[in-house]
Amino acid sequence: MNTSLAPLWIGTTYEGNNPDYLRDILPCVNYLEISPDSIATEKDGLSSIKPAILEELMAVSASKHLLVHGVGLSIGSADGFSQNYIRLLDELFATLPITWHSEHLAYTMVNGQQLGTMLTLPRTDEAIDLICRRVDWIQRRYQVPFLLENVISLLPPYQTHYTEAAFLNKIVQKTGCGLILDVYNLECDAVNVGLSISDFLDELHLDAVKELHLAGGLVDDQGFQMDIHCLPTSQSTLALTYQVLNRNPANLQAITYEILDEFIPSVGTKRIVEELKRLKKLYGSRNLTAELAPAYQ
Amino acid sequence: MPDGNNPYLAELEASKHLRRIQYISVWWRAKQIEQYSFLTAKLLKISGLYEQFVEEFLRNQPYESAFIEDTGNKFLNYVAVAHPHSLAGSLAKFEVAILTIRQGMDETTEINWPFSPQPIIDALLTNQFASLTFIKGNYKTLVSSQLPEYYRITTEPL
Repeated sequence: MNTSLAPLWIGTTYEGNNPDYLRDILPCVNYLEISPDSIATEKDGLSSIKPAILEELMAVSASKHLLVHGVGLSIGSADGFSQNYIRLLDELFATLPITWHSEHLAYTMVNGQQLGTMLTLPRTDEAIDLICRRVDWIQRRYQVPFLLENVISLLPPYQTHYTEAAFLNKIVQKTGCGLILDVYNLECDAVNVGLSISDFLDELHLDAVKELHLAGGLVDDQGFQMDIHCLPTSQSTLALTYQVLNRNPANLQAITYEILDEFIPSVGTKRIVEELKRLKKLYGSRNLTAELAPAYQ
Repeated sequence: MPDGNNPYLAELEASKHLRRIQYISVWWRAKQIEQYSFLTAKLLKISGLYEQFVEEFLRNQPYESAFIEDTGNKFLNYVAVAHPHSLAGSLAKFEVAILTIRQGMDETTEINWPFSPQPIIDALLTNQFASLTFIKGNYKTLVSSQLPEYYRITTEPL
């Protein structure tokens, strides 16, 4: 592992309006990752960031970085991405110092109807062209790095000659955007659709990866591993993270522990704080020893 | 219906994937509704009717916005209109009226109840369901931003 690089930042998600929780996690993080969709409200079809949360984040920005991570852009919708989400981004960028922003490489809307989940795109040249035009537009509009994240596969793959990694590589190569590598999502795909993680990592241009996402989720009664951020990170996810770091992704800067607001009470603030400290200890310095790496099972 | 000549769509239709996506979508929206429609969802849950009402609602409602306010408000309005003479309908109408005022709008709403509303509201707010009492009668509440707690009960039991 290359230890000459700067220490990795550790951060977590924050959805606002939880000052006690914020007070407890802030000493453990370098940044907060905020999702515009989660801190916004909608009136008469127009979205805006809740003013109280904007103020809260403004105060935080004096000491911590803020990363924006979207859910609702729907960058892959054939009929256009969400203008409501762009309105939220405009508001955030006009008000807060955003270090970088990101979105899932997916679609959440079809013909103006919400799907209620994120679906992967068909890995075709047509989809690459559509995504790249939109990424170019976003990068011109907001002059900070823009990253795309791998999501889990809920649909059987459409006929394609691109592998998952080749699809991401092509978009990065054509646009210069960065990537979030969601390590937990890779595990989900390995369990659910037989993704070979080692082949994926061998093929992916890891220098595009600026951020890792970690989370803990559940397996449903049919054996499907769900992308739901409701638990601390499992040993297997930590071990896979170690493997990724051992490949020396040169531009990796941050590791985010994702937890949904709804599950903070059941996991508990104390456990989340421990989790953040654990991640900092395991990965923050980049100076890992093999003893610190849990075995990937 | 999928095009029978398209092997991908045929494979998709035969798979479990669509049902799983539907399950995930419903789960998220039910979670949003529960969070937003705090009182009504709680009443429906303790009555064992929550899932049925949510499924009914989702079957009848296009999903145009992912925002909790939109889904939550539409759910409450649906319950109020679809079940106007039930306790759930009255409570949903009451909750919409209170939320409307909290959002800064100055509206006055009158709501009819088949049961005395105060013990029910108190039990839902304090999670004291064991003490939940249903006192039959024709009750009314007036909801207005001009009132100290935004509402008052305007009629007594028959």
